[in-house]
Amino acid sequence: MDSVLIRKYAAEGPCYTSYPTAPQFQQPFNTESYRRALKQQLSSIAPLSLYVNIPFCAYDFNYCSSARVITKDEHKAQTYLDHLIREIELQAALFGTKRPVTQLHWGGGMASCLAPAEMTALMHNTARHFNLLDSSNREYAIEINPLTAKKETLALLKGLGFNRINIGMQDFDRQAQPSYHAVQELCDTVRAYAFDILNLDWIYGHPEQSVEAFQKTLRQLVELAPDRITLHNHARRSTRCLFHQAVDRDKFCSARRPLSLLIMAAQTFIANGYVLVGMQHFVRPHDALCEVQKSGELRRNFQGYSRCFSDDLLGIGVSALSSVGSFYTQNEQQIDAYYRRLNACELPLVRGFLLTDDDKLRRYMIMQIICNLRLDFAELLRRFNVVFMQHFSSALPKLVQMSQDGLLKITNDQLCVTQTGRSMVRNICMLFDAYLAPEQELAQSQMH
Amino acid sequence: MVDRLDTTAACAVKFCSHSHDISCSQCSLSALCLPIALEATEIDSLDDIVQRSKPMQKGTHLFRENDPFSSVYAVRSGAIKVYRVTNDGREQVTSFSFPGEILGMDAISKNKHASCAIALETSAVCAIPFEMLDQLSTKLPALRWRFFQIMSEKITTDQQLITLLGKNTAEQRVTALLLSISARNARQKLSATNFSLPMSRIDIGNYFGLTVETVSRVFGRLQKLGLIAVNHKEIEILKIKEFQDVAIGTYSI
Repeated sequence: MDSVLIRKYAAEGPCYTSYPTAPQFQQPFNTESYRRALKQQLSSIAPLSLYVNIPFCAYDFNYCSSARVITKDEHKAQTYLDHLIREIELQAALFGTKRPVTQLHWGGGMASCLAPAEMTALMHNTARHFNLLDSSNREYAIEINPLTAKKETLALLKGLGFNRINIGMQDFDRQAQPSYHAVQELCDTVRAYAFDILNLDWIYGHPEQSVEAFQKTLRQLVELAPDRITLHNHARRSTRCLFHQAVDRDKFCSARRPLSLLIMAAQTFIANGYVLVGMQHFVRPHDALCEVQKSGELRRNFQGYSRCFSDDLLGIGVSALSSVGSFYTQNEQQIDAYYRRLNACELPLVRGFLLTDDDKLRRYMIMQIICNLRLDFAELLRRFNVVFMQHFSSALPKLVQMSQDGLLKITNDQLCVTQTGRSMVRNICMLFDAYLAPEQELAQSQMH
Repeated sequence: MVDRLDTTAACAVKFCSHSHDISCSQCSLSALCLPIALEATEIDSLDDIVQRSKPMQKGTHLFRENDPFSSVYAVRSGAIKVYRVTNDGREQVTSFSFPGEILGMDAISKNKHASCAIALETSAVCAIPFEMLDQLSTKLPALRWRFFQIMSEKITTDQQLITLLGKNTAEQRVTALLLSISARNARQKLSATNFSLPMSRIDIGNYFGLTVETVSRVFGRLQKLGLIAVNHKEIEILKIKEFQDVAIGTYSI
């Protein structure tokens, strides 16, 4: 890949797990209008995605610096779980019990740190209030920690209905990191229990990692032969980039320093038979994500790419983000406040965002580009009554520039992201983001 | 067959666990059945709902498939075989339950028993009416968590069995069962290397999807290798380390 091009497009930018991105959810939020909107569709049978945030961990990882509670105190986890279950009851009353849950995700500070009884209780209570599926079309994923997950844990998770395992890791055989052997064993166990998807969440580019060490880790990752690899840029401790703080994840998705590492990783993975779906997600060519991308049906939400066809994502737990209808909401970010609201039998929402028509138009465009790598102008006209060339004429010079740089192809009918453009798809999306901060606008303008 | 409990430390406490008038606080198995910190008054309230039966004779049923669900059961002594009847009328063994273990939980979701349970030897069980247990758990969170713990252990065991059946050799399956019984004995402070198998070779074969001949051949091979000594149902594990190696991919049944 052209290194001049890499430098040119190495601007920081959002990951677009939502549009507008989480930092924009600052409106004083009217819970009543949210309630009313949901009440109208209480008998809905539209599919639903559930995210459960479990911000507890027995270990303090020096890379995973989310707002977590590092604890070995089981009692603390239990108190949190009791409140989670209370929120599940409250939310279920709003969402109705009929909607099939096509996607379920347990994340946060590595949910596998919960005791078996706690995981069972949580799943049992979720199933009591929501319509969980056992069809093979479901995507039930859990983030696990190679330092705490055992064979028995995986057996239990399989039995509880999970079919996807996300192993979060940074490096092998370093302080507070698992040995390569341990991760390999864990991967073998995941396969033995016939989980559908093994996903490695790899945090790359921490400051003390040499290029040689990086290359070695890359080779080891490929040897583990996961079905999917997701790269996360190592962020400074204070930036709290990983896993559940979508706010911060969005802010610091790509720093400039590790861009060459990213390119090196991409080349290694592609040479070993992986395909870059987009936004640092690598999969096998026969992966379902590739299939739905071809047919233009790939989705993206706060948990990354997905093929589950639900428009609404309900986040449960402290600081969890939701995307429901025209609303984005976020739960209380402080654990005490979260408990207090639930003890008062209130929804623990702290802030939210009601999308305008313009937001919805831009959301559609950005999601089409970032997921399906193309934007059909006729579809834009049909859905939003917008003529692309007129409405976005101000973006045209930059689009032409990107087209000349080989990132995209633009015709009278559509905008198409090229193979080269896949690594810089964020830059294309940023052209349609109406909320970019002035300094980011500046970074964009410096590109030219 | 020698009754293990009569000859060992488990019965060195004042009461024999076959006895049906023993309370939870006196029961030597309470640490297995209820390994949770309950206050004395809480144990009393649990005691109030537990129904202790007289010992069941070998071959009597505790419950049958489709029986209405009223109680879960804790095994106090002996051994229970749990099985289902397949559509073509054959028996499929799904698990074995030993003292300190709870069974019948698979009935919770459908409100009727999903399997049959039969005593493999003289056994005593406690019946715990589920409705009362459910009410009591709302007052005793520790009890509620204990139940989820039992459920998760059951789920884990089932998954491990499925994997074992899918991947492992006959030797691995049989040794895994023997090691599992050994571990359960150790948990009851009984000998981990000397025990008697309550189930027949036929049951073992049925449980693992092996023919009786294969099961017998495996026992023969293990004996020949000097890993175990066998006298009818009495088993002695002679080389535990090597025995564990055979079972790599070990699991508890």
